[in-house]
Amino acid sequence: MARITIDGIAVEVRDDATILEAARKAGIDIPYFCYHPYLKPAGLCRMCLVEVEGMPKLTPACVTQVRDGMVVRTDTPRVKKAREGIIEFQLLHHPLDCPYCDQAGECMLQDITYRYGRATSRFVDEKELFPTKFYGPFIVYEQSRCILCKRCVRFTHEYMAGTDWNVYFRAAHSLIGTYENKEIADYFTCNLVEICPVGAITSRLYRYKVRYWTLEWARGVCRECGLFCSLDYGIRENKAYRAKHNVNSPGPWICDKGYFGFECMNHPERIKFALERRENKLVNVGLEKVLNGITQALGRYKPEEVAFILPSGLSVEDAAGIRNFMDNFGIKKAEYRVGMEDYLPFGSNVDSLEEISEARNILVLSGDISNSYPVIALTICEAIGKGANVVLLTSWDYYLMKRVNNLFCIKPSCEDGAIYSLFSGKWDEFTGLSREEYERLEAFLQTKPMIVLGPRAQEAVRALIVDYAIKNGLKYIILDRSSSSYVAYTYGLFCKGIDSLLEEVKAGSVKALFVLGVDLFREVPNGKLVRDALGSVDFMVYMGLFFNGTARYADYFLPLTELVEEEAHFVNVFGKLTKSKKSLAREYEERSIREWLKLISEKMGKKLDLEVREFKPKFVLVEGNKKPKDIVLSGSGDFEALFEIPFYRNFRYMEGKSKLLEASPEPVLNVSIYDARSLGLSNGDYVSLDIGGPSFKYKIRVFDELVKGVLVADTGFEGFPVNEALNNRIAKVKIKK
Amino acid sequence: MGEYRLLLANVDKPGSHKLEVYRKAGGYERLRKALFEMKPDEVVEEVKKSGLRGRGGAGFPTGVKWGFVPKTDLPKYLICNADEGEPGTFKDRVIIEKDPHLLLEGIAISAYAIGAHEAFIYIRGEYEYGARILESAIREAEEAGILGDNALGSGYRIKIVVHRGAGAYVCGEETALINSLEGRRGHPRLRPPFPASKGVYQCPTIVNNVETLASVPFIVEKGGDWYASLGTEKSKGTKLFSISGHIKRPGVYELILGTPFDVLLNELAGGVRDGRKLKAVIPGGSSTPMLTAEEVEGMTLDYENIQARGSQLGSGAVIVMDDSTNIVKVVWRLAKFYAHESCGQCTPCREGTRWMVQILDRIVRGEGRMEDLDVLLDFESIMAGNCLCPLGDAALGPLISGITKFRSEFEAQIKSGRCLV
Repeated sequence: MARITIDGIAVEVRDDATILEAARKAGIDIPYFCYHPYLKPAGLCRMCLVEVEGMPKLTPACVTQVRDGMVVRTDTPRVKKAREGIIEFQLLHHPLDCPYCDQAGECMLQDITYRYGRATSRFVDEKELFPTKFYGPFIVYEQSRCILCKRCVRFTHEYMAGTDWNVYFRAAHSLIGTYENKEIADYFTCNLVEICPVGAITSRLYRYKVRYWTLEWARGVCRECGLFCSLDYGIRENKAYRAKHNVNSPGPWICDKGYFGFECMNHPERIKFALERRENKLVNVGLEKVLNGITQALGRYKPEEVAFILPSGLSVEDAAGIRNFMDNFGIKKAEYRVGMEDYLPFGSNVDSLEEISEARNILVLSGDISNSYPVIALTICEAIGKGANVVLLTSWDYYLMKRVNNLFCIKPSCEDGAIYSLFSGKWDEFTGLSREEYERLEAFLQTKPMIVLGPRAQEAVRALIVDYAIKNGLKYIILDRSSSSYVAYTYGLFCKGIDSLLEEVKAGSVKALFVLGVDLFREVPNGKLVRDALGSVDFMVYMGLFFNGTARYADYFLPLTELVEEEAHFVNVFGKLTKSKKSLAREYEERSIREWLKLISEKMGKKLDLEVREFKPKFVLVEGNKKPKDIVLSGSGDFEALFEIPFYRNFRYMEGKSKLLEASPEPVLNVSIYDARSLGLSNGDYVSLDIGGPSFKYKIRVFDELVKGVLVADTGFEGFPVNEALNNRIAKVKIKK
Repeated sequence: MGEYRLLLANVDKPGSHKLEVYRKAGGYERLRKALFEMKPDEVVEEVKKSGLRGRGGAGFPTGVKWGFVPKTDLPKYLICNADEGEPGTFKDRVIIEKDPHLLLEGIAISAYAIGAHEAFIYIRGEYEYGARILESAIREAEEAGILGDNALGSGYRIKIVVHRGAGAYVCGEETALINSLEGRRGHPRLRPPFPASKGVYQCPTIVNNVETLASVPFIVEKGGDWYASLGTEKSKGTKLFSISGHIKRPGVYELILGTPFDVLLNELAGGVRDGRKLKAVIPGGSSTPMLTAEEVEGMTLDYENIQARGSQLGSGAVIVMDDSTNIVKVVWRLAKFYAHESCGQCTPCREGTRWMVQILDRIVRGEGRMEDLDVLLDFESIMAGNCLCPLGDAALGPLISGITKFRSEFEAQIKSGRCLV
């Protein structure tokens, strides 16, 4: 510990603390622009200059470490003069159009100028102004407003392990931007907006909608993935305009899904009334009639003929409510694994994101972690930035494949086999790994790396890894496709898998379905089965926010609440509970899942207890040693294709998030560089993909890291029923030009 | 007192850049002496004794700098800073082009002294001929077994690599140079850590000027005490002066430090042009404050004497201006140079240099205001010492001295709106 004096106030701080940190502890304000608590100090803006006794020059407080007995002064005329000078310099070519700048009110330049600047400027020359640049659907860069603190550039370097975002040119004409891309939508683009201290980078979703100071902030939780990041939602007149990540929970950064995803709450197409089917239409007949209709219909079925299909992002309260409802009426069947997973949660023995970022060796297996758990992928990139050795064994992970130190790319159908052979210690030539690659992986496994397993892996692989990790004392995180797997598993909301449930519906042994906020046509890879099942379902209640393919089959539509419209608790991948508060009043008939079930239950004469007193997640225990199931590929053709929903479409209530969808406007087919060459394809070409019958039009993206003979195709587009031609994620396909 | 040729002893010989010519003059014997007869610490000790100071401009004692290299297992690197970009400086070029083997020998000895096996010569992009000369000299020396895996059969490995810059003045600053060498943007780094502890690839690195390194062989040959016997109390040895401007014989002259300025100006360079009077002198490259004709009277060329007169010896680039010079335009031209060469990282330098040019532009155009001069003088309190690297201070050198010493000229130009010289 070092004792230092700042403006006469004595503080005791860590030996490696900087003067700025010490001043914050002492309660003394030192202005800064380029400093950020989660970025490495850069000392660029020179705003934080202070006087240190015994040093001839002024010293930047953000980079200078304290020394025991140091005497710092921030109130001398010299410091004041320097601060005024720096502010004057910063404002020379700044447009000073705060009345219509979007950042006004939360602008550090504005705040600091009011506090430390001079009221007048001596500048009489012409201001240099630069054109505004639109970098894709999310961000706008206004160079004139930029103070070149390089926070955004440092973020992309330190956390994203590099992205096309840097400083170009020199001196006063330095320009921040991209080198070759016209747009930047790189999963974490929103952080550039949040990190910018001035109005140089602004969000296109929020721009010119509302003034910052008219917003009230409500604590909520993002429900897109199993991390359940805490977010603050900016609310004005009962409408959310903005999301912001203020607390370090679970990490300091968020992804675009969370930042732009609240849009669905305000979407004009959102349904806020309970609807009943009248012939071909869902119509508003009044709440009472709807409830009566549902209870009457439910009375016709035996409990074993009713089933629930659950969404990801389920809150603890909702899960408990569903459980109690099922118990009330003896309903046995519920399923949360709509992605056709065959596994239940194994959990992890890692407690926080910091543990990942501090790891020296990380083995990332299977995929697609960056798509399903973006912030974990970002933390892995942060570890790369800190010098960690990250090895990735996968067939497809768009974000991580370009950034890891060592990549072992294999065919999608070989993924499970390769991981299984690695952990069972027997090399198998059919897995697509050469002997040498296998030995390198095995040697890396000897360094006791942290294991991160993505959602594509099968149960047998998961069990083997957990078993191996526990026996050898390794850290592991086993990620599930569904973000609510812990909650759903703990409350027993699963049966034999979505495919067997849908088969039962098809066969008529399950007649009534409650589908809660899931578009089955999008989420279930076996679209043919979904169509057959929904076509033969007798009675269906759909709860959700929007009308979609699945809701088309519904007899009743019940509107749900989302985000800060209800109070809820969530359990993240580390087993920690986060709370979302209710801050928006409901306008019409929207309710949470549990409230709807309570209404229905009470209508049927049974009370539904909604109170949750305690929650402790349960996990599957590893038993026995199973071999992974062989993947049988349907279709025929020279190529093996993996069908995945792209990042900017892989979220709840896709219909209501038009901003995010703009980043993924059309289906893309990723082709390896070898195949692109042999087929004569280049970026932007269109091809049609033949999946044993129907063919689909795709735009080509040449992806250098892919293995020869492998295609990765997007699904999840409206009016693009690829899923219905498939019965699994992987299939044999043909390309036609 | 006239020229004293130590570094320039070989340059006039025909084929002076060839190894055979250099060897005939006793070349690489100093390296042999260092490798076989001296321990690395002894070399450092001799250099410390010699009082040799960095010839690139800052004048930091070389031996002390070498002493900062920590004793670690990490590889160590030596960088020869040949990014000679300071306006008015062209002294290193003579050594590089005419006597490259002297430089290589100096680098080899210095690398041995600090324990480096790899040395880089970072040469400015414009010195294409120099880079070719150095490359062929390195090839010659390697083929002769002087450099390479087994330097002169001693078992010590010395590998010298020439790296060409891409034309940024700021890359002459040692941390920007290191960034550029690593393949990054040529932006100065924060200090601390200093390069001596964390430089190239985060390993201990010493960056020395060409002239500094070329002086080392003589110190090894004749001893530090001998070298220290040349010059004044605080300025030891000889120094190259590149004199340019309104004089009859511009060029590079080698003088013992402490030689009167008069000798350089009038005896060697032939004095100012006929019929003209001396008006101002920039004594050490464009970054150093300019001195008036009165101020240079009786000046001797050494670190302390010039400092006492409010300027610096710098890189020894003397720019002489006679009474036909418009100081406003000189200041304006130099400000433009710095505004163009600022790296753009820190606010005071980036914005200050741009604004400087905007104001001076206006004054030169005839639209100046009297207040402008005070604004320009006020830059000192905002920029001096507050920048990330010395470039901001360098930009202030000519500006502040020009306005304070020739204020009447500025005022006349502002009042009349045109140049009166």
